[in-house]
Amino acid sequence: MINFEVDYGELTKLIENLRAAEEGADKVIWAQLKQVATQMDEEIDEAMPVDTGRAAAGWGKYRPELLGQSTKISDKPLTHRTRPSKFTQKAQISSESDAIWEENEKELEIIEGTRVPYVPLLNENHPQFMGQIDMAVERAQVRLEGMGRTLLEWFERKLSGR
Amino acid sequence: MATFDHPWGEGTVKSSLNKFIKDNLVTNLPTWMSWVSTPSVGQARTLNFDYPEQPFQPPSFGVAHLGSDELMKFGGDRADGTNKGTMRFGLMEVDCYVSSKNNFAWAQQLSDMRDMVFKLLQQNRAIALYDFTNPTTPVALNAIVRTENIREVAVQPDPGNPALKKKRILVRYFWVERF
Repeated sequence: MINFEVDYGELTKLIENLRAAEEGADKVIWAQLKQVATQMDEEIDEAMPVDTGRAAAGWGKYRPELLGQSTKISDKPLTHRTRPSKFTQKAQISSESDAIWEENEKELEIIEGTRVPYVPLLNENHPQFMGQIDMAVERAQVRLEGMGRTLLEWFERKLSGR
Repeated sequence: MATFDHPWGEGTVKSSLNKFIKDNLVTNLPTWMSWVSTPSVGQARTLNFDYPEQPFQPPSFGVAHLGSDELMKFGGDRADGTNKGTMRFGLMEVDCYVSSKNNFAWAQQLSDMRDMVFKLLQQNRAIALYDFTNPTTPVALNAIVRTENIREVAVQPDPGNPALKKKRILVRYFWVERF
């Protein structure tokens, strides 16, 4: 005669830990994600060349306090690679609709960007700003990868009930 | 005071990557690109670094470094048992340019240039670092810079140069900066 004895105690505990970890993980990931996205938003705002301030104000969360500031760096074209265009002439108009910041906590998703039409050209061609959006995205990506490793360790600890 | 020397710095890495691209990307060009190496063309070059102020003649490649940042510190500040150090990452942009003016083959040419860059960078994920203390005779260091996350990103039509067609390729690289 063969007897099978199954102790569900450990399994039940594992399931409980898994549920707790899952619920906690969402909150932790969301907080970290918001932090990384906000940091990226601020980095791009700071690096953005300012003439009218529309590009800086209109990236990510709308920041009208950046309008009207002026620095030595202009977002007007400076070299043969960025000649005056109809895009730069529209720089005077700024509104909240320029800015893109969409949060979806359920999907753990944040979308940030801008509708200012000449910002992609600044990112590609402006002598001082060239590639700075790409670099900010890269920094955010690296932070998220680091965050992923930390969260994995945290999740494993939670799962084992430690 | 001794002459400043920091062969593990960002300058070395940028120069080493530039050297690698110069030594490998433009040494075996297709016939439709080879005309630019003719001396009579003057300033035309197939490869430009860091956004030249002078006008360039397409078809050509452009290489620029967009910056670097710290990735992580080594425990106890020890990178290799002796030196302090940090792991850093940087972002390199490689652009391909062709002109569509009187050039019906521009799309194919641009695609070929993109493939040349991708093949070179995908085949060589570990690139040797050189000490450029003496720029004319760089000395190989016993170290490498690694590349990853090589991707093509979208480009906007340039209203100032409508005939200039472009592809942008971004490459993340990382290395250990020792102090």
